[in-house]
Amino acid sequence: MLAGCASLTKTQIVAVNQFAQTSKDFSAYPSKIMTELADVRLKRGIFYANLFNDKPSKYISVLDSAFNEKKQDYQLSEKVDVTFKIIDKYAQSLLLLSSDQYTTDLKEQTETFGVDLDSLITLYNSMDNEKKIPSGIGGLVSQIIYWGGDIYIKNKQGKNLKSFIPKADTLIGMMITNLKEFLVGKVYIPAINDSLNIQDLIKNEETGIRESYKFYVSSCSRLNTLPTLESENEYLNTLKVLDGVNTLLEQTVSATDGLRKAHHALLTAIEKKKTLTESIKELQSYYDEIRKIKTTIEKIEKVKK
Amino acid sequence: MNTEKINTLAKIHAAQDVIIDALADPQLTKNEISALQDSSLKLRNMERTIVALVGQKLVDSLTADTKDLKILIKQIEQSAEKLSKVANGIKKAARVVEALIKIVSATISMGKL
Repeated sequence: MLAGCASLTKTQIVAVNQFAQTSKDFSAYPSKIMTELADVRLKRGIFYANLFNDKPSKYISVLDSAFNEKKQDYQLSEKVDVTFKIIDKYAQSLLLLSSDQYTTDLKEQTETFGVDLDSLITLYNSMDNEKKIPSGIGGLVSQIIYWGGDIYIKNKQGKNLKSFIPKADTLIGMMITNLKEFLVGKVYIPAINDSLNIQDLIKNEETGIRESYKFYVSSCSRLNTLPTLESENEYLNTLKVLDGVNTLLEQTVSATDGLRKAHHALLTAIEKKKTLTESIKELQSYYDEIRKIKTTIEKIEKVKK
Repeated sequence: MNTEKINTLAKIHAAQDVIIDALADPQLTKNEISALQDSSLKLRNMERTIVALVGQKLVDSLTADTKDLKILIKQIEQSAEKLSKVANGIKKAARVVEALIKIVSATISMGKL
């Protein structure tokens, strides 16, 4: 018997596939917050360096520091990226396991030989033969082979997904707790007896970019020149980017909760054989969260162009 | 634990603002400007140190053991590989059937059956 109770419905496998598709680049969002802040810091460094435009060595030294700091910030963000790549990797594995590629390949294969068979039957029937073969039999034969293989593979897919997703649910939960801690949790810095989080770092850059631009304007004033139009645009665009980073943080926190709920909904749908409509709300809302993040990232990139 | 917040970053920015205002004075001597520039740079370095520390601490807090999930992912990948083998096996079987049908059909068209 090919079909079994462990087999998932086509819509359940599609749901797993869609969840995986939506999650496969999840790690990019938290690290994007970090890299955008690093880019803002570099711009601040460039504006700030103008304070020393009467001292070339110091001027260059400030620019070099800004450049090195950006490198360090990016290295740090890579670490964040690597940690959360585990979510991407899990999603990519699910994507592989819920792929319809196996059956699609098979379908193409059997459809081809079905057509070949039927055209041969037509050729046979066109000859002067007493016994005519009913046409369309090729399609039927190929359908039997195709469905036999399809059911077997789907059954295996279902069994594997049913075994892996529950195991992963606890681990995904752990990763989400970790991610939430990273996004909203405060870390204590003994040297300053203060606890800060990413939101504080964003606020710091908002204050910092205004301050660095003021230093730039102040040095223009000492040189009796006006700030360039280009620098004014650069300053305003950086403020826009920071607005975007604020939104990105908020949306990533939401999407992180969404990821947790969606994975849990997926688990419930698979374990209890619930229909997709019962878990669609969580999956849809998670998908919407990710779409919002992508739109925000696009907006940030547009400002930077 | 002392819970009094120092708000060091806010204090650094406030001090930088004072320096910016002071630099606006056209009567400043070169030495005075230099002293203000140096103070500002020291404040900037302090700010950068704090920001780097916070960033580092945030990354350090990512300590969850991801080993189990990595093992699970490996298992999933192996399963997907097995499924791919099954699909390929069935494809091969389909090709054999196809070849047989072609031989039979060719024989028919040659009038040998």
